Amino acid sequence: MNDPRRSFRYILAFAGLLTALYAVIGLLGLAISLTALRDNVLSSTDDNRVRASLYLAELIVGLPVWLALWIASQRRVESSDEERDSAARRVFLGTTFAFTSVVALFALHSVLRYVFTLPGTSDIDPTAQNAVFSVARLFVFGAAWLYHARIGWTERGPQEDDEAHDVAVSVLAGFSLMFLAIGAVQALGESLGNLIRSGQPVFSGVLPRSIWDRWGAIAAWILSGGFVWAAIWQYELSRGGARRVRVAYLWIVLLFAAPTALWSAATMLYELLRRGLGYDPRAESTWQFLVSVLPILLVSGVVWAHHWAVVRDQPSPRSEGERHMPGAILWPRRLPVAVLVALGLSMVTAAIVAVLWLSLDFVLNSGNSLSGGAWWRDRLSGSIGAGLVGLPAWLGGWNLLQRAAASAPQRERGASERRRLLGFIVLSGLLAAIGFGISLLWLVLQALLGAGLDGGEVSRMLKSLSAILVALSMVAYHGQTLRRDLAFGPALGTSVRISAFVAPGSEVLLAQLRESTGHRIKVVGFLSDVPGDARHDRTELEKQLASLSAPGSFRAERALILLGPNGGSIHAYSHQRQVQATDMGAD
Amino acid sequence: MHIQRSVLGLLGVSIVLLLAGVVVAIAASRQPEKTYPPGTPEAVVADFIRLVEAGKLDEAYELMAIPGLSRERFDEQVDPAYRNESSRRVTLIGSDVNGGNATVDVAISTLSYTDALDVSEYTNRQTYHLRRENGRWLITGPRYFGL
Repeated sequence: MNDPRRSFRYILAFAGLLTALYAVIGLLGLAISLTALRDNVLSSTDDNRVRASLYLAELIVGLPVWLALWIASQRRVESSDEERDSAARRVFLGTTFAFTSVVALFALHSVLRYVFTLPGTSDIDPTAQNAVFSVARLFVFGAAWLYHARIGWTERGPQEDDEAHDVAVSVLAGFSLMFLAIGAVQALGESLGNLIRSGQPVFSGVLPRSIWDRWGAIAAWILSGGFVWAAIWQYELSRGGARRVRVAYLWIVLLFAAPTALWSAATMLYELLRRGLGYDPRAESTWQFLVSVLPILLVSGVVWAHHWAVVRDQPSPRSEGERHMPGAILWPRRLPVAVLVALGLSMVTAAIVAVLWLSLDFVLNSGNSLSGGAWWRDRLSGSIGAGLVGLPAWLGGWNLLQRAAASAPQRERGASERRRLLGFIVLSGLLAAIGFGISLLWLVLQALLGAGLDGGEVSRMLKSLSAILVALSMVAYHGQTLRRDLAFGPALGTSVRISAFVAPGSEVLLAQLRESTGHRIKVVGFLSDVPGDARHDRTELEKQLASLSAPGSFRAERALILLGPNGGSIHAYSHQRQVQATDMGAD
Repeated sequence: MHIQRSVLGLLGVSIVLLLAGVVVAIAASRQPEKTYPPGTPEAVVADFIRLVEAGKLDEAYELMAIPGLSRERFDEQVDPAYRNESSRRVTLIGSDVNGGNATVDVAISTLSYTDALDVSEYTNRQTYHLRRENGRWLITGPRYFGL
C-alpha cells in the first residue's frame, strides 16, 4: 500500500542524492582545474572561494540527508518485503536510473566532442574547463547509476515486472536513439554536401583543421548515442515479456519517425518535380536540397522500419491474446496502423485539394494574377509529392484495417483505435469544412456588398471551395463507415482494469490469479474478514476473468474482485449503460 | 549482515568525500593567480580583466586603444557587468601573435547567483584583439565587453 511517509522519504532521498552528486562533481572539477588547468586561468579572484564554498555547502547538507534516508530505507528492506516491492521505492530506483544515466550520456557526448575536436580550430565548444566538468559528471553520475541499477537488479531481475524500471529504460533508450539519429543525419548530410560540392564524400589528402570540428562533433553524437543505445536496447529486447511501457515507447518513436519520413519523402519529391518542371535554384547547386532532406528521410525511415519490426514481435499480454480472433490485427499494431492511415489521408487530402484548386484556377485563369508564368509549378509539384507519398501510406493502412474488419468484424469494428481514427477523420473534416466555409462565405459576402474581387481573391474562393468539397467527401465516406461500426456496440477497450479487495490469507490465490490470467490485479483495500459471496473457486475465477473482454459478451471496462483464501467473486462493470447492438439502428 | 557492510561502506565513502571536499575548498581558496610574463598579450588581457573586476576602470582604460570609445562610454559598458552578484573565471583558450597584432581567446565562465537555490552557470567566449604601439600591447577590441 502507498505510505505517504515512505513517499516523502524517497523524495527527500532523491533530492539529497542529486544535491550531493552535483556537489561532488563541482568539487572534483574544481580540484582538476586547480591542478591540470591552472596555467590557463587568467582570472579567478573570488571564483574559487565562491565555487568551493557553494559545493561544500551542498555536500554538507545533501550527503547526510541522502545517507540517513537511504540507510533507513535499506534497513526497512532488510526486514520487510513490502518495502522492497513498494511503488515509492520502485519509482525512486527507476527515476534515479533514468536521471543519472541520461546526465551521464550528455556528459559522455561532451567529453567525446572535446576529445575529437581537439585537433581542430580553437573557436569551438566545449572548452577544456567544461570538458573537465563533463568528465567529472560522467564518472560521478555513471557511478551513481551503476550503484542504484545494481540494487534494482538485486531486488528485481531484468525479466521481472517493474514498470518504473521499464520507464527508466525507455527514457535512456529514447535519448540515446536521438543522439544517434542526430549524428547519423549530420554525417549523411556532411558526406552528401561534400559529394555535391567536390564529387567526393569525404575530403582527400591533408585534412583541414575545420574537418576535425565538423566530423569530431558528428562522431561524438554517433559514438555516445550509438554505444549507449545499442547496449540499452539490447538489454531491453533481451528482457522479453509483454510490457505496456515498452509498447508505449515504441508507439512514441513511431509517432516521431513515421511523419518525419513521410514529410521528408514528400519534400524530396516536391523538390525533384519542381526542378523537372523547370525550376532553377540559381543561388545553390541543383542537388543541394538533398543535403537537408535525404539524410532525414534515410534515418527516420530506418528508425521507423526497425521499431515497426519490434512492434510486430511484441508478445500479447494473456488477456489480449485470449480475445484475439482469426483475421483480426494483432496487438499492439492497430494504433500505429491507424496513425499511419491518418497521416497518409491528411497528405492525400491536401494533395487532392491542391490539384482541384489548381484545376479550377487554370480553367478560370485566376491563379497567375500575383505570380509569374510558372505559378502552377510549385502547387502541382507539392500536391503530386504529397499525393505520391501519402497514397501508399493511407491505402496500405486502410486496406489492412478494412480486410481485418471483414475477417473479424466483431473484434475490429469494435476496436477503440479504429473508432477513434474514424471519429478523428470525421471531426477534422467537419472542422476544416466549417473553417473554409466561413472563409468562402466571407469573400462571397464581400462581393455581394460591392467590394470588387480581384484574381487573387477569386483564387482564394476556389481554394476554400476545393477544401470544402474534399473535406465533406472524406466526412461522408468515413462517417458512413463509422455508423456501420457503431452498430456493433460500444468500443472494446484495450484492457479491462481489475481491482481487488482482499481478505486475510488470500495472498496465494491472488498471486495464482495474476500468474495464470496475465491480468494486472490492483489491490485497492484489505477486508477484515472473508466476503460472504466468495463462492467461486480458482478455476471459475480464471474462467470469468478470461471472458471479461471477450467479444459479444458484456463490454466490461473494469472489474472488482472480492477475494478470500479459497475463492472469491468477480463483479464486472462499465461506466456506460450497456446497449444491445440491435438497438443501435444499424444500416 | 550484507546491509550492515553496505551501510558501513556508504558511511566510509561519505566521510572521505566530506574530508576531500574540505581539502579542495581550502586549497581552492588559497590558490594564487597565474601570472604571465610581463609585456605579453596574455598578460595585458589578464591585467585588463583583473582591473575591471576590481573596479579600477581608469587603469583598465589605459590598456585600451579603441578608436571612438570614450571613457564614459567604457564605464557604461563595463559598470553594470562587474557590479552584479556573480563570480567569474576567465580561462585562456589560445593566443596568436602575428607581427604587431595579436589575438587572445578566452572563455568566461560566470556563476550567477542570488542565493544557493538560485545558481546558474554559463560560459561565453571572447576574442581580444591587440596591437603593439610604442613597445606595449594595447587592446583594440572587442568593442563591447561581455564580462
